[in-house]
This record gives sequence, C-alpha cells and structure tokens, in this order.
Amino acid sequence: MKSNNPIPAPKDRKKPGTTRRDGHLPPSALFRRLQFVAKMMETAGAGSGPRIAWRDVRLAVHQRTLPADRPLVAGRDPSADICGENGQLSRRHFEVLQGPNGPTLRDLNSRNGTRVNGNPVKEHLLRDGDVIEAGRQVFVFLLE
Amino acid sequence: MRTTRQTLLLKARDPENAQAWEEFFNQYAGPIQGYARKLGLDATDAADVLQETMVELIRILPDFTYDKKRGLFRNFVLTITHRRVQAAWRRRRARREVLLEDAGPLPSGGLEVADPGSTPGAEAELKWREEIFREALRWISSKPGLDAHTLDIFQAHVVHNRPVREVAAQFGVTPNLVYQIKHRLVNRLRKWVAPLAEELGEIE
Repeated sequence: MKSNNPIPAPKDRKKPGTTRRDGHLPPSALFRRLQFVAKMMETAGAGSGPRIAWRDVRLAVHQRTLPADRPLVAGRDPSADICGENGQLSRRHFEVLQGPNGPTLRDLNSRNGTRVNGNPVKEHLLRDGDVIEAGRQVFVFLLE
Repeated sequence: MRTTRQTLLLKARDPENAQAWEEFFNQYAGPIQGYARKLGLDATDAADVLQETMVELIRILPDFTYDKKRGLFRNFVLTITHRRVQAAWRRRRARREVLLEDAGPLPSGGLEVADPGSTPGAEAELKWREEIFREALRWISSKPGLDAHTLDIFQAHVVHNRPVREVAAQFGVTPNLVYQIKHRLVNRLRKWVAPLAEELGEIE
C-alpha cells in the first residue's frame, strides 16, 4: 500500500535532545520524534478523540480511545486497558485521564518510571504527538 | 507550468518526497518557535506549539488541496501556528489560575496578561515575517565563506536600517563595499525566502 504520510519510517529511535541555549528545541531531535509519530499516525489511521497508539512485538499498531468517564490504564495487569507483556512494565504503570486542563498522564508509582518526550514525569498534561515511554514500550498520544 | 513554481508546502505533501518534508520542517521550525515566543510564550510552551503545529501539518498535508482563489495558501502555516499559540495561552492561564488559587487572593489588576486574538491580524503577520527573515539570516550566517565582519555590516545597514556612510565609517570600509555586501547577501536571502514567499502569495 502506498504510504499516505510525508515522513518516512525512522531508521533509529534516538532520545530527544535538550533545549538549545536560545530556548529553541533542536529541530533534528523533534524531527526524529515526529518521524516516529507520523509512522504511527499513518499505520493507526484516523481515530476519534484523544487516544494512545502503540506497536506490539509483531509491529502491529493498536490504539485505544480515552474513555470519558474513567482513566485509561497501561500495564502488565490483564485488567489494564493497554496490556503489555514487556517485563519492564509495571502491573499498573501509568494512566491517562481527562483532567481539568485536558488529557493528563499520571505515573502510577511504576518501578521503572514513565517518560514523555524523553523526560521522566509523574504527571504531565499531554500534547498532540507526545511520545510516552514505559519500560521498553513506546506509545504515542494523539489528540484527533 | 506548475512544477517549477511548486511551493515547498506542496512538495512536502508528496508522500514520496521525504527530503522536501525535512526541508520544510527545517525552514519552519525556527519561525514557528520564534513567533510563539514573540506572542509571549516561554521556551517550553513554544516547543509545544512547534510539536503541535507539525503534528497537525502531518495530519492535514496529505489531503491538502491548493486553492489560491480561496486564499487557503496565504498564511496557512501562520494560521495553524496562531491557533496553537492560543491553545498554549489557554493552558498557561489555567495553570496560572491553579497557582493563584493556592497563593490566596489576587491583588487588583496587575497580573493579567494579553492573549493573542482569535485570528492572526496584521501585527501577527508582521511578527511572522520577521521570524521568517530571522531564520533566513540564521541560514545564510551558517554557510561557509561568510565571515562575521561581513554579517555585522549587513545587519547594521539592512536589519538595523542605519545609513551606509555611518556603517562604512564604523567598520572602516568604503560605502561601496557596504552596497556590495547588501547586494550579495540580499540575493542569498532571496534564494532561501523564495519558496516561503510563494506561499505568502508574493511571487507568481
């Protein structure tokens, strides 16, 4: 199938860089991250509302829409909305909920922590295209 | 024929043209962040605006149709950026309200900050153009063969609009050399700005 996205698949997945002295993000760091986001968007297709997309070990892309009435939980626990087999993922690793200012991620005291765009977070107001790392699993938050 | 006049934005929407997308990204990343900073956002919020603007472009570009009569192309990126800046302002205000709730009663007046309007007006367009120009300057100054002295002369005369004789006297060069530098660097700037200028409807 012909790709419908202007950004090719990433050759590698490097950590995002730090902010430059003038306060601007190095474009190359964001560009690499967006390559990954674009690939996920392309494969996941159109969605409805805020959602989390991720790839499983067979590289198949899945997505879960954020419920309006309860948090969306990611972890190894079979009851989690996003259930991963990754050993570095805690049973209940993080949750995403509709906060007063928008979709918000909360780390659920996970053993290995949660990163958003390379930065460790406990609570984070999510932006369209944020890359979430939990253990070895990578997720993308999409707003539309 | 459309091919020779095809704008960078149109090239970037071609799924096979990854190089054009990267070029597009590199040209706009600085202006988008600079514009957000000019409208009062801090570096972190400006970086968010850049990310959100680019993600929206990734979503829109493949299906974007060019219709110059409807003026869709004019300030296309500026409009998206401006909308994202507004969203950042709303988040910022919400954060501030939470902080102020914790801090106790507000002093009367004083702390309110200006929110950019709902659509980019003439002033916003001017700020946007300044950022495009600044990015172009950054680009030419990064090229080999251009020394700092030459760039200083150019900035003094063209950017800061100082008279040729005054600049020549300050830098110990002839007025003719100031004119030559201006001519040479303006030509280089045009090469960089041309694709963007097309998008702004300035080049037919």
